[in-house]
Amino acid sequence: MTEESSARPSYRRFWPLIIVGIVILLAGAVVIRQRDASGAPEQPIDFKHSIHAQAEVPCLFCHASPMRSDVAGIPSVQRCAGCHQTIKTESPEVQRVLGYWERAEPIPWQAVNDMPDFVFFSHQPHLGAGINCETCHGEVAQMDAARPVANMDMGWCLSCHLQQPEEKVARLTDCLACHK
Amino acid sequence: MAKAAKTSVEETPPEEGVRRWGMVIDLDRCTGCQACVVACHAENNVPVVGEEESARGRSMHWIRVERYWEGEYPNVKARFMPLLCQQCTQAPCEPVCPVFATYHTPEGLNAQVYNRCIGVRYCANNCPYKVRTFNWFRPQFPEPLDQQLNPDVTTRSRGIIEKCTFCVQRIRRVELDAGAEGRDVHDGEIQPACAQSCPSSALVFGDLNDPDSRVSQLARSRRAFRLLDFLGTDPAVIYLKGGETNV
Repeated sequence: MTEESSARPSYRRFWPLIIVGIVILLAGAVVIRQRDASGAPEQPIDFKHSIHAQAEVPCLFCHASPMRSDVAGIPSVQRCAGCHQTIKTESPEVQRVLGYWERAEPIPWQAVNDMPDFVFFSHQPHLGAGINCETCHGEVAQMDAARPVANMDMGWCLSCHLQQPEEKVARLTDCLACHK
Repeated sequence: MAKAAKTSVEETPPEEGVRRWGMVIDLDRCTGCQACVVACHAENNVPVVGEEESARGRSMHWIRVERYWEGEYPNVKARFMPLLCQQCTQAPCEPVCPVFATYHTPEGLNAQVYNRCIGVRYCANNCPYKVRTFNWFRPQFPEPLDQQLNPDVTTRSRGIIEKCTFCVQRIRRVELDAGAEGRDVHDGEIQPACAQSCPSSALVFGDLNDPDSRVSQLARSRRAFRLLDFLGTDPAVIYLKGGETNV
């Protein structure tokens, strides 16, 4: 009995330590992922998709290649400067973009969605099948910094591939359609 | 035609539009130059294991050139036979995999899904052609080889089996490009690295279900034979018997 009562307070003493440890781990996870609470990666420029969407810039104006390529394409600094040498030049963030342009340096954008190396993915057949950007990337037009809206695992891919017309399902659910 | 095939088991004519990839290897044309082996290593990120491991039977090639000496000196002849996965229709490697890492694709490829493989090596042991290789160690690509890794092919890790895919990444690419242009894949448009690099065009790749394709025409040759045909594996690789032209 005396042994039990002496053991309990010693556990209680560790509680603050455990809580502090959990907080440090969570903070560390956020720092290591370099993403904010919404899951958006930290970007070198405070770029706002929403402003550009309100100005009715279509997705494909900057992300120019998904109709003909595997990748949608991160716009070149030249693409940014093409407009921003004349538009909104007083904004400090735009001036930072123009700084990259004048130094002839690429902007180190961080990828929002990352496919594992063993996955083959191409934007072209998906857009060719009439899928629009929002289906996978969410309402980017409402977002400031783009954040992932789907975890893009195999079950998520299959949830759509299995819904396709019967004659296409065998091909679309074949392992080698995506695994490489 | 396609519907009739589904109801009748005895008669299974090729389904409309379904391809069966195959290869014809003309042994009269093969000079044993090993260009196919080099091209395969480069295309598919196949590691080089080195002399020591190779001596232990751990060499890794998705295609190899078997050499046979015939006759006694001075009348010696060398015969060469490129050997790659035969992409068997009744593949002995497939039913033995406990985790379904190896399976048959609708287009007749004998596929290996690396993520599923747990490395029991049953498939390699059951393969009569010995064309499946196992990663005994973490593959090394010393500089500058790491600079030429093909991004369209996974680099495999330690403890899994890998094998010839008929360069499925090239098949996929051509199919997607053709689909984007709204046309069918032309015969000869898809070339695996081995066939593309063969200086004497000994290796020909194509659709065996298309009677007019070059592989189908060559496969109807009198010289055609398949390796260990008596096993009933129904390979998709067809060899053309070599005659007297080999040196």
